[in-house]
Amino acid sequence: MKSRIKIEKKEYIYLGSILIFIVIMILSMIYVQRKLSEVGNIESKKSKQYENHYVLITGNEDNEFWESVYQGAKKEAELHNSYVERLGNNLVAQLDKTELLEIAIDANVDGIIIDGDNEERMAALINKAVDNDIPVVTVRDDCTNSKRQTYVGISSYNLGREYANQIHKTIQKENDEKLSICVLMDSFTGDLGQDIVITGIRERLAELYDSSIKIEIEGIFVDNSTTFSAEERIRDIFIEHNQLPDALICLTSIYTKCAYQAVVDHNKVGDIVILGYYDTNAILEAVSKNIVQSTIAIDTEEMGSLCVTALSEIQRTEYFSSYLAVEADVIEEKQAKELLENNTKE
Amino acid sequence: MAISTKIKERWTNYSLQIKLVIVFISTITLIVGINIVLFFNINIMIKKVDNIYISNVTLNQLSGALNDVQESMKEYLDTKSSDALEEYYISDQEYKNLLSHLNDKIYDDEMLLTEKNIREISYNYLKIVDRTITAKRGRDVEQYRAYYEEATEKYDKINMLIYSLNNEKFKNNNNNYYVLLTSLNYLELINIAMLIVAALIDIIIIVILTGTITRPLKELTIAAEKVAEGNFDITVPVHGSSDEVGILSNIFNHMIISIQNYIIQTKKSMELESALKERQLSMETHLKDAQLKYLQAQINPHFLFNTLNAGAQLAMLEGADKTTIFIENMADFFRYNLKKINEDTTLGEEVKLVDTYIYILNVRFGGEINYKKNIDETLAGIKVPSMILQPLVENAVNYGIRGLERPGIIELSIYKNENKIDISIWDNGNGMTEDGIKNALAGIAVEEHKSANSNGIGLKNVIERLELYFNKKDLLSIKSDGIDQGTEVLIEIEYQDLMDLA
Repeated sequence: MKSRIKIEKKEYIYLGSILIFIVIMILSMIYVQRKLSEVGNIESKKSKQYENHYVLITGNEDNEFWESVYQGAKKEAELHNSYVERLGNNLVAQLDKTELLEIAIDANVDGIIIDGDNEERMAALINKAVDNDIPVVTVRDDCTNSKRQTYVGISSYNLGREYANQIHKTIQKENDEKLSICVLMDSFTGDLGQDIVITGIRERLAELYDSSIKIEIEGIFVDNSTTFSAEERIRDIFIEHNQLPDALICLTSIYTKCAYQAVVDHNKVGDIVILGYYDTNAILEAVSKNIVQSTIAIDTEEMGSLCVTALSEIQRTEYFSSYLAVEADVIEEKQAKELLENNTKE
Repeated sequence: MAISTKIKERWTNYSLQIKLVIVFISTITLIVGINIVLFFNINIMIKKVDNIYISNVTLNQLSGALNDVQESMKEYLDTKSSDALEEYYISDQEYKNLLSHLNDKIYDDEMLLTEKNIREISYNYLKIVDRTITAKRGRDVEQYRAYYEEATEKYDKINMLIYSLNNEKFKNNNNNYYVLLTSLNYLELINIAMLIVAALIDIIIIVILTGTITRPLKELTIAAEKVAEGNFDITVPVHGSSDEVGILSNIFNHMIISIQNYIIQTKKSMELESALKERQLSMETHLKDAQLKYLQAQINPHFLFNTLNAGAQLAMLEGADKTTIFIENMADFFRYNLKKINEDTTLGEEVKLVDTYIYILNVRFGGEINYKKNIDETLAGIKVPSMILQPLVENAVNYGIRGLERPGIIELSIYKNENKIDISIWDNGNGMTEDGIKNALAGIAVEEHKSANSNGIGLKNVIERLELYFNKKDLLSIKSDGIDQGTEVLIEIEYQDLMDLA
């Protein structure tokens, strides 16, 4: 009887070890397979095929802004069975917008969304694209003298007026005093929109302030054709100018960041009113600390989505609007704090 | 447990060879299985690595082909040689071939889209190159220069795109490579673990299975050793196994039982034989003893017999009738002794001898013995060993009535008693004590009277010869009520024993 129990114990050991072995084997196989399928996922994911291939062409600066626009465009494109490629994103060489535009034309894409300017070369290429039956939509900045079908952006005139409102809110002037305002402008693009912004500011300020007050608006051209030049140029303002302007209006998010940093570095907080552009977390932070008095929030995703809507409209019908406006909101200290809270919560 | 017992039953029924084959096959299968699994895993790995870098290789080929197109075009523009033209056609074809493998669909994958862009731009580029070549043929210098510049521009862009894509893929592949590397490390550990576990299981299988094979063998060996030491009182447990060892165990058990039986039989027959031999030997001894005594006595009877015959004739011549009868009786007595000592005889002849003996004694001692006979004549023919009654009567005379004051009586009775024949010699003489009877039966008799009145055959001799003859003990008994109360010697012979002798 004893020996029989012994044998049964042995059997249990035997069966147990075999079971453990099989479990180990299966687990290892599963593990290895899973690991390998991970590799496969990165390798080739032909998940979905689309009908249309659009490209988004932007400059290299202000990436946060454009990334948001791109996401909006991508989401909207999904609804139209299209895919938006952000051209130039993963290239080894840094190509400018016109070069990218050439590539897009040669690649026979189905639609081009481009951050325009008023350079001749740009206009010529846009015209070439349109001649090749590739619809072109300009976004944020227009290329007015080209055959582009639609422009999507905020109204520069209204933007200017809004800036003027903000200036009036924060800067009180007595009779005969001088109100000097600097507008940081893109020198390279020769964008007509920027001029319109200044016009908007000027007209609105004239309405708001007493006519005895002398209003000076200086457009400072920031040469952003070479990398890092924007930051240097903005610092120059603080160093060169004997007297700082009353307000500094930044027309890109990068300028806003540079201005903010410069104010802090030169210990001029409170001496100058800075009006920003766009609502990145860093800018919201600055607004919430009242270093930047207010900023303009553009619904960038809406902007992107409108671009794609426009492209598909152009492809489908002959009738399309040549201008689509994007809402712009002013963000002040209080809203900035709320937005930051929301963002951190998310 | 039911399945396991079933398996065990089956296992025990397999032959040794099959068992060994199963052991080897199971261990080999295990190892081979493990190797297949390991091989499978490693193979997948290698394929993955292959797949990862094949894309880079393809792109490099593409870049090479593009370069060939550009170079051959340049060469043609420079030299206008037919070699260059041929080379251009070949490289153009090859590049187109390679392009046809690139993706041309719109996917939500930047790399695939880049492939599509490369493809489209390349087709445009090839068109321009073709135009350049045509213009060169047409010697349209302005035209082909312009085309060449455009082509070169596109060529640079394509190269840049290919390079970018290659770079992206390489980055991606690096990620893949790290994933692969970590999983390879894990795989290595898993493989080692699996190998170790498999080896352990192998050892367990071998130990258990060979154990079931060798255990019966060991038991058999131990049993054989015991048998070799002379211990037959064992059995080997068979475990119900029907393999060669099981069969051997069974046979071994049978063998031991057979040997045991054989030993018992041999012992019995040996005992029987030795008993027989002993009996024969003792019979021979007694016969020899009797013969020796007889031979000693023979000298007297022969001489006496002749002398007595001479005496009887003399007495007849002298007319002495009584003397003649006496001498004749004497002669008869000795003749009987002479003749019958070697042979069986009948009760009748024995009784006659007693008669003669009593007559002689009565002549010698002047008729002082009162002799009575009470004989069932139907029993006269019964075979008995010779010289059994006369020695008993002689004892009755010598120890019973010799020297008795009153007249001595001796009574010989032979009669049937149920299934027995009783032979009784009774006297009214001195009687015997219990001790005396015991001593007499044991043969420790006083032999002082032997020389004078005995023919030399004592009580013990008679008892032993009776026992040998009938192969039975306690045939003779002595009864006495004590001193002066007389003695009876009784021989009881069962009919059954007589029948056995016949």
